[in-house]
Amino acid sequence: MKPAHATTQEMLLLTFLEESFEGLERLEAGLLELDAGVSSERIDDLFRVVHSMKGGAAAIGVGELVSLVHAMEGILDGLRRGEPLAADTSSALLRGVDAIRTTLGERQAGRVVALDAHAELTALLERYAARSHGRSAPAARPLEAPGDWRIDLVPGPELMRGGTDPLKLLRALGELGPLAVTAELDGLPDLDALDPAACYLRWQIRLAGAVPRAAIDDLFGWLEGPCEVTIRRAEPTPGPAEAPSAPAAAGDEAGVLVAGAGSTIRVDIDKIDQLMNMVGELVITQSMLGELDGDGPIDAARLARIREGLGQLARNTRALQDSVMRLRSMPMSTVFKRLPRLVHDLGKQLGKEVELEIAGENTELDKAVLEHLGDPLVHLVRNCVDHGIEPAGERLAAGKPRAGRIRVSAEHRGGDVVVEISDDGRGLDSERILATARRRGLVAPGVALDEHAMLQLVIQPGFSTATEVTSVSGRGVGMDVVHRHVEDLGGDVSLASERGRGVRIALRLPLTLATIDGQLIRAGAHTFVIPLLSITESVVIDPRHQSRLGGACEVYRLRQQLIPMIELAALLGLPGAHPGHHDRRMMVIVSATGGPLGFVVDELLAQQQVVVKSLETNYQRVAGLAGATILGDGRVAFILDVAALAQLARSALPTAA
Amino acid sequence: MNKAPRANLELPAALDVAGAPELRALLVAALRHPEIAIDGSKIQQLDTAGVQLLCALVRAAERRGVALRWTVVSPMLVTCVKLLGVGDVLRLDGVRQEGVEWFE
Repeated sequence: MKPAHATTQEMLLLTFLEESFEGLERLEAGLLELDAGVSSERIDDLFRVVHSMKGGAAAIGVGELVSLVHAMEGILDGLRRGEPLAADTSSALLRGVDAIRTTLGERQAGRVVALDAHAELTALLERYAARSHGRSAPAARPLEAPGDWRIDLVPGPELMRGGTDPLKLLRALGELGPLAVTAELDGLPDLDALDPAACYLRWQIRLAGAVPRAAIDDLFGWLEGPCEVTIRRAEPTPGPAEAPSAPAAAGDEAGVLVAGAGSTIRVDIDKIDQLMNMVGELVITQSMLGELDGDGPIDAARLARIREGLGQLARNTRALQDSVMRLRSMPMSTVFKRLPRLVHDLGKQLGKEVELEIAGENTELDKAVLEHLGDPLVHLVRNCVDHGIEPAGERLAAGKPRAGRIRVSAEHRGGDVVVEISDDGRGLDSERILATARRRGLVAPGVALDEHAMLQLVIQPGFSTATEVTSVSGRGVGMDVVHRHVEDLGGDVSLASERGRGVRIALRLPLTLATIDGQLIRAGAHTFVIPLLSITESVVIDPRHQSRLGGACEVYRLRQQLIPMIELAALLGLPGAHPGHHDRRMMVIVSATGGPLGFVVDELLAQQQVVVKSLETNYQRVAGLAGATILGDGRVAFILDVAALAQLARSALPTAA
Repeated sequence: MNKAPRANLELPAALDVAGAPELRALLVAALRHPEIAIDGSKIQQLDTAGVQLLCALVRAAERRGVALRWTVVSPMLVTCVKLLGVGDVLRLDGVRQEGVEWFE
């Protein structure tokens, strides 16, 4: 592949991945209903999804998918022609959907699964297809995939005269695996002029990647005579430019995967239009204020107009901020869409009949919150199916409808989004909860609790009532973890239950979430976050560039500038700080009023997006800190208020830099 | 150019490097006609040299404006053409097949 085409190929792959993930959702939705019965138009639609996916995969070079998709296409083709639906076919097809999702997910991450990664499933699907067609399974040969062998065969002219026949070689190669051969005849002279026994042809060969290199080497080991052979793996198609930051996709037993999550976001064009309007108004306000600037006295009239302009500016900026925040919001359906499949598979696995009702999937929530909502939601729904909903027999005996009902809804209430999960199952056993709480020392013996208080025990940290850890839900992740998750997002959880009637859980989440891009640094034993926006650059301290000004202030010479060096740990009053000990440490240069400043830190850690938690609401205002965040490992890291710290540092300096 | 009617070129049983010089002479002779009908059903032995010569024939015919037509071919020729990846040059799709399937 010529470098000039690399970016086009990347973009083609991204588009293919996007469309395929969407297609997979349609396919999955249709397959879930297949057993219950779908219209022939629907089956046609499903067939078309698979058909175009196959074509796309072959064209883009995602060869590792072609056999699998081809087999699925075969089955759907039979169905749309009126073949009867065999038992287990839909399950097998759903497994195919999962396999495709995994494969595409790998591609998104810049990796390619082996050609035979899904060989067993493909063979199974081919058998289903053959059964319905009454003929032997079709053989699809993916030969354009990266990961395949590329062999260049350039014989010397005397090769054939010496008794070696390239034809035999190619035949032998073909016996190792699927083969695609392209001959190059540029070197072939005119019939009159050529030497009939000389070899003028050369070949480019693609051989399935599953063939072991040793086998190829053995084969060419027999080659005698002048011939250049180059064997290499075809270049993997470059993955998308940034590694997508997929949310922790719970690899739940039901095999539901989060597809298409990455660092991109799809935005309604209306939102963009709205944004453009806001910006337009901002520009008008700005030019209006600009006109007010100029020579002449600032009289009362002018002042009034300036005030008005500033008020307008404030309104515009607020509106703009709202608009931009709304860009980041996505509908709940992105999270809800995992649920039907989950409930379907889990119900089958546990032998329970469960119906899922979803409401309010168009309710929008910030992307960051949404991503963190997925796992708790899945866990709660799983709990309902696993522990809440009774088996059909028990339900009928209790006078309930045969199939259990789970309802998941999302709606805006006040400044929040409320997500509710409810079921009509057995409800929580408050006695058992109390017993467990007592056992875990959460409740003193002899203390009686009312119904409500007993329920709230469930969300206390360290609580989990599953006495047997079922393979499905009880992996030690309890309601308490869900609660903590939601609290981290700035929300809360409430729980209501009635014995024999069911459970209702409500998650309340804030509508907006402040996040910033930050640079994590270590100063002493503490981790801090410096907003990336404030950072100009970071350098490794070279002692030769250090000097002292006026006896007390350390400065660093960076190119033509002298930058004051501030020991961050000392500035923050951390114990064990060593002012002056700068050997081979890092300096983060920030921009502040009065010029750049260099914070000397012990270590530069990761750069990441962090959720800003307010110190005021959780503790109290602290000068120099802009907030706090909770790191992946649960520790708290303070976010530095660079402007305030700079001011603090400057006031402590003997001379201004 | 010989203005005689078209040449009926019957390819011999062996199209291999040993017989390559004779084969070339045969092909060159055929190119003196405005039209060539090729019968490849008798081919029993084939190697790269033979196929290469056939490729050269097709090219030369194009250059000289000679009309080439395959009337019948042995399946072995079809297989070898595929294996050697010269299907673009020796277009044998749709030509009637008769004769030896494969050697050995």
